[in-house]
Amino acid sequence: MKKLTLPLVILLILVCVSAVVAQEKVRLTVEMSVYVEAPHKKAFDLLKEAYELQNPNVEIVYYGPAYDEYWDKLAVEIVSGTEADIVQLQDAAARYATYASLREGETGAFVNLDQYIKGTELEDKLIGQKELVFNGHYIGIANYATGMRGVYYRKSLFEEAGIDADTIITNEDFLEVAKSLTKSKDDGTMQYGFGAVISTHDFVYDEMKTFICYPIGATYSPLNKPPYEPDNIIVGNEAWNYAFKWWQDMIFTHKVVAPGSYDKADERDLFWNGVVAMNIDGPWFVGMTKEYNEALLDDLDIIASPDIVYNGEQYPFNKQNYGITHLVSSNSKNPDEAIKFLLWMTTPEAQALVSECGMIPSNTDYSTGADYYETWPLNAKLASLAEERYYEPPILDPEIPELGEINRIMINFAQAAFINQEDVADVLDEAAEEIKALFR
Amino acid sequence: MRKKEAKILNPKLGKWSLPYVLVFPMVLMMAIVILYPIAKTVGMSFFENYLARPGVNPFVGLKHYMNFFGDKYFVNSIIITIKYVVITVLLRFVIGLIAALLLNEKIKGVGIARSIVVIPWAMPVVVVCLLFVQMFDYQYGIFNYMLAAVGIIKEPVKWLSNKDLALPVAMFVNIWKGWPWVAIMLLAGLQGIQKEHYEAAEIDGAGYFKQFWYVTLPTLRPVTLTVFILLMVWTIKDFDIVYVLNKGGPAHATEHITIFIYQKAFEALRMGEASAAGVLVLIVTMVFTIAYLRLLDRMDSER
Repeated sequence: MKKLTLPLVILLILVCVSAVVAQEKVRLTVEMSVYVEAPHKKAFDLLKEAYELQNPNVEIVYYGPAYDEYWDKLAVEIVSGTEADIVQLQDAAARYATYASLREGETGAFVNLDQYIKGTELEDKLIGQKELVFNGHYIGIANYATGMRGVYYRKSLFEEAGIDADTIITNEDFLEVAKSLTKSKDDGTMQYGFGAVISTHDFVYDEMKTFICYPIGATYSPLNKPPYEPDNIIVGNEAWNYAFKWWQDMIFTHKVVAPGSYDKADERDLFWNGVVAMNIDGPWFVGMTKEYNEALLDDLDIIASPDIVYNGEQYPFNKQNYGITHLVSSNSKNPDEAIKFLLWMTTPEAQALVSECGMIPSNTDYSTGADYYETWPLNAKLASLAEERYYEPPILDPEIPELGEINRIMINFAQAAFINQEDVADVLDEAAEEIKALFR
Repeated sequence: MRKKEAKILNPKLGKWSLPYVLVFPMVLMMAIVILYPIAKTVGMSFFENYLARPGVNPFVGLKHYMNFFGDKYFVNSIIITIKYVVITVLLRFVIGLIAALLLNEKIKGVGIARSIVVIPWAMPVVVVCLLFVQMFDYQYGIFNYMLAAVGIIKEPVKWLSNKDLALPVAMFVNIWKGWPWVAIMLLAGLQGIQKEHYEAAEIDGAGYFKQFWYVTLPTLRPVTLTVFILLMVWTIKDFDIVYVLNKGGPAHATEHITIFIYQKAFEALRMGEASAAGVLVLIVTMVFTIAYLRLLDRMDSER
């Protein structure tokens, strides 16, 4: 026993020191929906490694399910006060209102970031930063990456069909090209012009909303601005009917959409396998393609989302920003450290790591630089196409807590129209009534 | 008697105080984990509880309950739930019974068969559903491939995104997953039947089907009732299969009552309404649970 005394004492000291060291480390939790995707995992792991090297007293922990499950889980966590120190949000800026409003307070569930953003150069340099506002205060930092949608296409399939992609300017051009590309191949399988999610996945509505609804003013209220009252809800008007009918005809009349895509991953698979020739997606698709098969990048090109011709007028695509952004929980025990990490992510050093995900880094200081353009030419092309062709300011979803419910209503009715092939006018009338009922 | 025992069996506390002391921790745990959430849910059902308006929570009484009668989606989810429960319970029972009868025969390999049969039931539900999503895939699914190969279909079928097929597909997955449990339960019941009963029936001239009708089924009655009741309760509460396959779509076609509740709570953030719907489901499952407990009591007293 005496022989063991000294080793035991040393072991005890080591355990105590470890415990003390562990306690001194600040543990920052970050929850997100993109960590399950290979390109984003790579970028976030690089960010963690670099930051922890510079800040050895900080330990960053990532977690989160995939996109579909993330949102409901996040709502429950915020209500029960168990969300992470840093919460990632994406897509329409109006999601912030939904989640922020789950807790009382001027900025709700998230920390007020005005002192770090307002009046600083970040306010202008970070793409989408100005949209991250709740009750007049900044609650998020657009510090990761962004992207607007375009139409990616397989160059080889276009060359085979003798089609010049640059001739696709309007939605009617797009439809004609999709028809030319839809055919039976020599091996008996079908090739389709276009891939879209036509299933119970949320994208059954989301894709067509941004492609055709918003550009022609088919919004919930005019420009999705208040007042949100029953009399101001315009769902089911002529623009909505046109948009839904056009999309429905693409699927059932012209049959240019590959059937049976269960979710967006399925649709991307069809594109990579040469079953569909065109895919609406954002710059994250470039990173995904690189992860899937780098050689495919040589066959990948992009055009701008087409203008929509409606009632004799031509409406350009709306410059929707699908930014991935971060917010600090008002329950965080380490808000200062969390903010410090998020601000570091806006630096050129961090943005270079962010570019590994394939999306366009948010800080324009970096994303408009020569280095970035050389490494990611397709993304650079999309950015310049968007500058040239897309309409600003973007129409955003309404910044109201009812947005989740409105989305669910529209997803269900989109399924009725695009899966069950129900009459578009009837479907939209019912949708309008349900949305109006939310505001009575 | 030791001093400690004497203290616990203090006459003032009653002769049987020791059992209560021993059971108390479990009762406390159940109260916290089961009773408190139920009571909280019932309480929430009488208030607005719209999460997007924290701090504003008026008392609404029975408003949520009354509104359900006029809510076409609630009525739709009840109808779908009834169809789902009735069909899957019946078919799981029938398939399970046939399997149990076969597994009860003394044939070569029956031991291995009994082990293999358990596999669907033992697999995690989400894994099973994700596999079936792949198998039912329109483009690459094995079902479309096989059916086309034998000439049953000329074009692939949209199993999951067809409003007429989505619910039968969900039922199929449920039945595939659930029949082994029924088979195992009924097999245990069959093995409890004394062979003298069959011998006596045979002597009386009863063939296989008459023996099944007059000996097997009556003797299996207690097990059968237990199986039915448990299947009903579990299927009324079923969520994972329908949610993973189709999230209640397309366009409410597979919207089981549990999915209706889920979407009310976590997408619409209307906890008051979701709680009210949950209470209604609780009442229905309690009816079956009480029936099950009474059956157990009767079986115990018959012994």
